[in-house]
Amino acid sequence: MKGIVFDLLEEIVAREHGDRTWDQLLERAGVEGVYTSLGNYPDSELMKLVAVATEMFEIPVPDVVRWYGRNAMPLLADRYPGFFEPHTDARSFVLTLNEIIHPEVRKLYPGADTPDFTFDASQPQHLTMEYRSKRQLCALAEGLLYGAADHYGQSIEIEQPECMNRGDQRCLIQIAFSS
Amino acid sequence: MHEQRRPALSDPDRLLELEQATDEIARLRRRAERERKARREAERISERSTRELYDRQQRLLLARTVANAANEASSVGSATGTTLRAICEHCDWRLGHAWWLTEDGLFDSGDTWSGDVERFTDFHDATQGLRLANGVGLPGRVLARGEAVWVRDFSQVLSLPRAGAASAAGLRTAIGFPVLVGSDVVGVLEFLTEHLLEPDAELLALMAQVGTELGRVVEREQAAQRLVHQATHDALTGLPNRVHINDGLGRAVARLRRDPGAHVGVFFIDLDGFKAINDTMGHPVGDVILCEVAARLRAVMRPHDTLGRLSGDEFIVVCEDLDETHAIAAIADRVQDALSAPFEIGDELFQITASIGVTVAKPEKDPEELIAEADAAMYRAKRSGRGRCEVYSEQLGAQIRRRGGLERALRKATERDELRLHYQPEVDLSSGKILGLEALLRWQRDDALVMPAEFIPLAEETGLIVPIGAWVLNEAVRQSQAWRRDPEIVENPWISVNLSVRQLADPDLTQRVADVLTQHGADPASLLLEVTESVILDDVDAGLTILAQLKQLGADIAIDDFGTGYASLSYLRRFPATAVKIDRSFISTLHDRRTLAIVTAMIELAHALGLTAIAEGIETTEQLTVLSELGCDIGQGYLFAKPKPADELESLLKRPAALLDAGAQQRVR
Repeated sequence: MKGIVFDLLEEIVAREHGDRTWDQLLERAGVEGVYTSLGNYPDSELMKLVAVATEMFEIPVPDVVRWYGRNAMPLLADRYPGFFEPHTDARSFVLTLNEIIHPEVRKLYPGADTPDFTFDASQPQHLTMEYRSKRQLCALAEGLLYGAADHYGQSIEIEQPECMNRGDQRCLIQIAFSS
Repeated sequence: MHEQRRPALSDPDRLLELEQATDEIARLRRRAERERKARREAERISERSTRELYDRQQRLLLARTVANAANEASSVGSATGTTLRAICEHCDWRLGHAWWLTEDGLFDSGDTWSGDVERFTDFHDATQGLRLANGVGLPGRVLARGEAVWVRDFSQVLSLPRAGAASAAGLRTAIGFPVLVGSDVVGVLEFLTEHLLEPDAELLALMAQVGTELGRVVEREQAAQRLVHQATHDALTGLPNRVHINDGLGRAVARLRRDPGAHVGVFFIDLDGFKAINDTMGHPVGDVILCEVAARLRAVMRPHDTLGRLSGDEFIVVCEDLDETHAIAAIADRVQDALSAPFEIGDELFQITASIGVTVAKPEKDPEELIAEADAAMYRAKRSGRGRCEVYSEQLGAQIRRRGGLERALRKATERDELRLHYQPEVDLSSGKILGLEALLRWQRDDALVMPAEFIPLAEETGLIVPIGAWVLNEAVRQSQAWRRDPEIVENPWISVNLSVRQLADPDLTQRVADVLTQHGADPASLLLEVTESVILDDVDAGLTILAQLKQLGADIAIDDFGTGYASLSYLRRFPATAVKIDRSFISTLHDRRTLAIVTAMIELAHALGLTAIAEGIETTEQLTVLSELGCDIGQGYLFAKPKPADELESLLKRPAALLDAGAQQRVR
């Protein structure tokens, strides 16, 4: 997992709950906590941090992940404004994931294992995303989608008729965008 | 166990410690925040460097790909294809397309590359049909500016001819940049994407590099094409040359094999009298006329006909679809019509016709054979006069093959010692004495004796007459001297040798004759050189000059075949001759009243000019009687003796009285 993910988590936890909470998270997860966006760290460390957060905040894992994604988006917009500026709505921004955002990510982090999404964009105010990943982080995708909607001042509704966490072959994320 | 010490708020020292600790914590927090910010900053800087490094590497890779493609490409097409694809893939453009500037100053659509062909079919179709002028469309704008053009949203620029098609295909930003040879725009590469992109200076610099690389390939191909063009075209007229014609004709014959119903005509066009124009007016004038001829012929050819220049004044036309409406005669007429208007060079007007030979291609023939056939037909046409057309036939071919065989054999005749001289006496009609012997050439070819009429014209055409003539002169003089040294032979006749037109054109002829005489120790006065009137008809002054030199040398000159050559009497006055030989055609028809009148006049004319009159071809005593009565000086013919080999003739020379039959002797005496 890329360091940026840990970086952003630290930033969000510290901002929302204070440095002490972040320290506690690290200590209870038993991880060293020396992260930079340039590094690469085991997925398991992230999973431990999420597990500890679930205990500490007493909310389920998907909710933690979704919360993280939604809060990470403004930070990303701050760090990488170039991806956001050409768009005026979340739907068009999301549609550039495969072709612009992920290639750019790979420029920075050669070998980054970015997920591939298959989009069905046939409906103007809707988008169906198909997601397949060993990490099964569809909740992160949902959180990021909410965050993107927040960024463009829109509201969205998300449904997941299929989910790998529920034993399906894939996750199918259906998004309805407000105009 | 000690009681744990607790800080008491009332304790001033403790209070101070607490304040200090609070300060310390705040300070540490600030430090942690600072450190965090420093880390962000370091990450940002590092990310930027990483991205720049990545982009630079990608651009280097692209530049290298394009440079490799340029270096290795066998054609502009393949280099362009590779380049379009490399740029699309490296820079994430959807569609790349090449425009090439044509000779008429318009851009033609060239190669296209897109990852998703189906998606851009309509846009591609909209592009294919276009021919864009300077200033029009993306390539026109690039040409007008001479540099790259970045269109942020192509689909919104309605002045661009393909804005609608771009919009329909969802294409937005487009760039076009020039392919340069030196500073000339020869083509434009354009790339389009569905994204909206801002001008990128580094990308434009890279594209400029790409344009130059591709320009190198264009330049190389242009140079190669120039070389090919030079190798296949005539430098003067720009027409296809022999190489090109052979090539095209080879393909036409190959098509003929697949489609035996087609008819391919090969026209060999040779200008009449062009050599004379070249010789008298100079090559620059000749060249102007050739260019004009080329232009006129080109103007009357149909697009499918191939017009080429073989060499000098020889042109070739290959017509691949002869039929009733496009018939040989019609094409030949068109050629003659094209040349019929006078050629105006400076103040001079030249009238030019062409001799045309045609052959209809057969699938089993190769191009060289077909051109040779058309050439042979042309030659036949030329011999029948100016401005004629002749079609090749198998009969003509057989004749030519026979001629070829004869020519090869004749070339070897001298070295194989197959040439012979026969001698025919020239007899004094008043005394019956043998005054002279005419040396007559024979060719002992295997068992057959070939007569001069069969091979002398060929020897004249091929120039073989020069070495043969030299042999004849030498052999005749040698034999004549041998007889003079023979004590049994009392008579000392002169020796008559025929000189051809070609021999007289040799400026060293006088010297050669002098050398032969010296070599054999012969008296020049013992040599009678016979020339026809036609000798001086070609070039009067040159002919007369040579004859005067020979006369000066001491040899006598006789005008052969007198009365048949259309020579004007004014030439006769200047002709340094000592004798005229009245042609055998007059003698054989001497019974005719008018012939008799002519022969009478000829003999009188000869005598009036102080020339000896010699009658050829006397076969009957009646002819001899008439000629004697007319005062003819010398006679020659079967009546006296057939031409004989030297050894057979010797007996006659030893016993001259045996020459004439009884009747003839009686008459003479």
